[in-house]
Amino acid sequence: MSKRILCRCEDVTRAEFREAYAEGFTELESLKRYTGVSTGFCQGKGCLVESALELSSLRDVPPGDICLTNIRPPVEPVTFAELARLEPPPLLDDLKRTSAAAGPQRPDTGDET
Amino acid sequence: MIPLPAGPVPQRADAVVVGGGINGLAISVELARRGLRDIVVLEKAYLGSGSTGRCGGGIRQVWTTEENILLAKESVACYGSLAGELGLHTFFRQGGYLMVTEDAAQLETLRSAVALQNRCGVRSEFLQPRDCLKLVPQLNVSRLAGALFCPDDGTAYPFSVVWGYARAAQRLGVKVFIRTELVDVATTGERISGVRTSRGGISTPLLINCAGPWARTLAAKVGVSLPNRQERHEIMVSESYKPFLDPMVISISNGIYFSQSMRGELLGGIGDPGEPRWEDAGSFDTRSQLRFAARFARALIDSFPPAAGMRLMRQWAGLYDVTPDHRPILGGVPGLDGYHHLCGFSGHGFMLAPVAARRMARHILTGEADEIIASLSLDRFARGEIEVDAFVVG
Amino acid sequence: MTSLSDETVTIFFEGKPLPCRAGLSVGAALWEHGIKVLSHSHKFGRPRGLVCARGQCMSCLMRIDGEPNVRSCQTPVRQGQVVNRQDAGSCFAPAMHKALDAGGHLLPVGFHFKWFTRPAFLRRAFLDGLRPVTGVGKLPDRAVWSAARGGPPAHDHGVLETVVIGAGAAGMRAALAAPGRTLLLDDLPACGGQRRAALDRVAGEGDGLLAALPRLAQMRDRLESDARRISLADRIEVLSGVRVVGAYQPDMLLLKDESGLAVARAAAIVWAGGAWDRLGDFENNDLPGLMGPRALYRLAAIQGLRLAGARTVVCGHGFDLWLSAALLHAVGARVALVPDTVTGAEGEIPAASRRLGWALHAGLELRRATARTGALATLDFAGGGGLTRLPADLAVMCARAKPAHDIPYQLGADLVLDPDRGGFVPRAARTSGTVVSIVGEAAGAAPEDLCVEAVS
Repeated sequence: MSKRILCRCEDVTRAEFREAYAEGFTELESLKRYTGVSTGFCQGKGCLVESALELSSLRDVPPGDICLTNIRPPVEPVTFAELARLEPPPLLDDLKRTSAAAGPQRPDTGDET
Repeated sequence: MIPLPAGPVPQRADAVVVGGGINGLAISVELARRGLRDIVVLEKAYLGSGSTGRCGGGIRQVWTTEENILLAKESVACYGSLAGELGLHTFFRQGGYLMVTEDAAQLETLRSAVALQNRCGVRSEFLQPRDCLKLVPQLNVSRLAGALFCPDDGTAYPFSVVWGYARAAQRLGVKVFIRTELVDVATTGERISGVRTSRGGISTPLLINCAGPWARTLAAKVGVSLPNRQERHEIMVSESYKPFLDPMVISISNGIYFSQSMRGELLGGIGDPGEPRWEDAGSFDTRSQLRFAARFARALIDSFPPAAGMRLMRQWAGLYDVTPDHRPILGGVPGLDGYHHLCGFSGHGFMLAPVAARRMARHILTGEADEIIASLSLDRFARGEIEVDAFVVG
Repeated sequence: MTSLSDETVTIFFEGKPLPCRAGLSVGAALWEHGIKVLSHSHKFGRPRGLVCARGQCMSCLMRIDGEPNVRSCQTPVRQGQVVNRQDAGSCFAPAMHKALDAGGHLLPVGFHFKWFTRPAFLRRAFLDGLRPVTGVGKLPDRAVWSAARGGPPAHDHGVLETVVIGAGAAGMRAALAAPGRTLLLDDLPACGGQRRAALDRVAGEGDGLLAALPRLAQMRDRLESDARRISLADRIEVLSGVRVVGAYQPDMLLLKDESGLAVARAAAIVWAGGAWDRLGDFENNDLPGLMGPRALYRLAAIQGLRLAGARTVVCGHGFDLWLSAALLHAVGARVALVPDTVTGAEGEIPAASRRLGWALHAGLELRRATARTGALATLDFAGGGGLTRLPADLAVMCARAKPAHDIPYQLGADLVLDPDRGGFVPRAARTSGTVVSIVGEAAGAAPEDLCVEAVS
């Protein structure tokens, strides 16, 4: 049957994305969790841009108003065996690094306007 | 669901609930069910963006203090029917909790915990290491000293619980404002009189602090000093696999926990004694750390050897709103009418919220005394009545 | 993927022995045997196969030698390898999937949140029935996980001055322009990116194909020249076969190559990671056989996938339209070109098509892809007052690519959605306050913009 697939990993069609919006999931963080877009193996490489553009069209707002959801590491799945070979870096130093390079911290809440 | 707010907040409300996580949404529903009109819930980001949406979704009765056990037991019963009440699946799956330890010195704690839990009517049992293999055949039991298993515990999916409550709240006339921040609180004498938000002011006699990691900051606005600290915890999901793990496995000797989600992903984390405890919301840092991935991987492969060939997909962090005794802070404070706490859940808010909200709503609206609320009020710290639960993990 | 030898290995696909040319990936080897359906999507059971050819899209996941969720596009064939689809023998019979796929709204969005929430016995039955059909791979075989354990500790590169991620056109320029010691990373064996490999393949074909397409020749000269300068520059160290698989703020990179993971920290990071192929919005846009130009370059030029005689269609616009068509021509495929337009920069297309024997259909709009035995067979276009149906074993969608945004986001870059530049791009020209700067297609540049005269 003909389908226009939005998210291949989670098998979500464009029509489904629009239906979810019509059900009242109107911002990307809840839309993604309800429909599944960008939550699969590829974590949005295949669909996040398309989903965000679709949302800007549904909400009738400029694309720039739709912000990225939190992209988390790793960007591709890595085996636990490989990770286990890493020497765990120190923690507090990591978090307290305030080098000039760190810059202003972006709020970690999918800051969508 | 919850439309993005189009205009200002209402000018008055019978209650303002601060926090759009499970606590805030549950209490708004419970208050509305008992007849309170004109309730406003304020959420500064999106529903579940705080601790609720980041947690592992565990729901367990296996605690070591009576209040925690009794509250948790009510919670399990509550979760058993919650999906039917809310009309949305919570994916509450009672696969059981398998709590293990490699430390022989903890065996006595396990045994007496089981005894207390059984006295409270919880069906937990003490297990020898090799009995664990019947529950999790791939578990590495070679270094285990003993275990505890409760078949009625389980996991649920935080976001669907949040959405279920949000829809129920809307149907009951509650107004939920996302992307709306609480700026300040006004009091008149010894009463709450209103709040100022990023979308206008609301006069109200009732303010409920469900702000989780920001509860302390909110309390300070009304001159209340909470002893809560915010503890950073990190968690991950693996790739998706066909069902292979029924219970949640949790180790009280090294702090690792993992379970399999409804999507087939392994979901788990590990405690890190080096994690910071913050007081100031401005310090919060929930960015992912490589240290967690490396530590978790080592501990996971040790407990569950097939994980060596499985893949970590995504890691994130959240905050536990931690009190000195790891038990929530419920109820009001003397000298300030109309202000209530529903916070300090120290990493088990998701599992206790439905029941805590029910009790709190009844208590607030009827003034009826509630033993559990009384024993979990803020002044217990001043009274020195601190009993720390030994089974805090993650 | 290494270059091909004439050696053959035998793999076992669902029990059947298949001779494969050594050096191909499992996915490419199966393609050459006409097996293009490598998996089925888990809700509608739709056929899926090679799409990105770089291990990023996960449509080619198979169970290989007892390991689940393996990217068959990245895994070389080996003698005696056991390869299986993961949904073979799954709970949902293929017929049921077909019914669900055909039934349109049989499974509306969110059904698993909304259906059968009451009464309690139905709820329990529903959730109990749902659980067995969730999940993708099965647990790895014991041989796999016990072999994976242990191993040498991961390498730590320490703190570096400058790391440039991506050795394509923009990355090479960034490395050449950077002061001081610079580490240049790329997952391919040589500098120049996917396009250089494709251009080399086109050049390797006799009959002056490259000479007939001057814009391609110009890009090739530039890429070669930059690659040569890089090899001569002592302060630039090139690490090939390395992917950046994670970034941890503010400056830590997680790297992966054949031997495992490594970490590096850098005072300055340049993200030249390029862009992701965009397949487009049309019916059945998920069929195996549909891909973007980057995937084509990797499969045909780098992996050496045989496409002689294949009926191919190249749609879209821009530099990749030209290069994809030229590459397909060079490997002996039959080329049909469907450019968005034949005006402006695309004005030379009709003459080139005539010269090179490419069928040309300009100004059509792709509406639907259809399959035979699961994989792409035809494309249906609208326009010119009717419907045009083109046969296609492989179709290359050369649409506006999507700047790769994940690593720069993790490094703290401030990104904004800009459809004119293809996706999430840096808000300001120079992202201040973070360690990363973003260049090239990753910043929304088009490949044409990267083609300037070779610097002597």
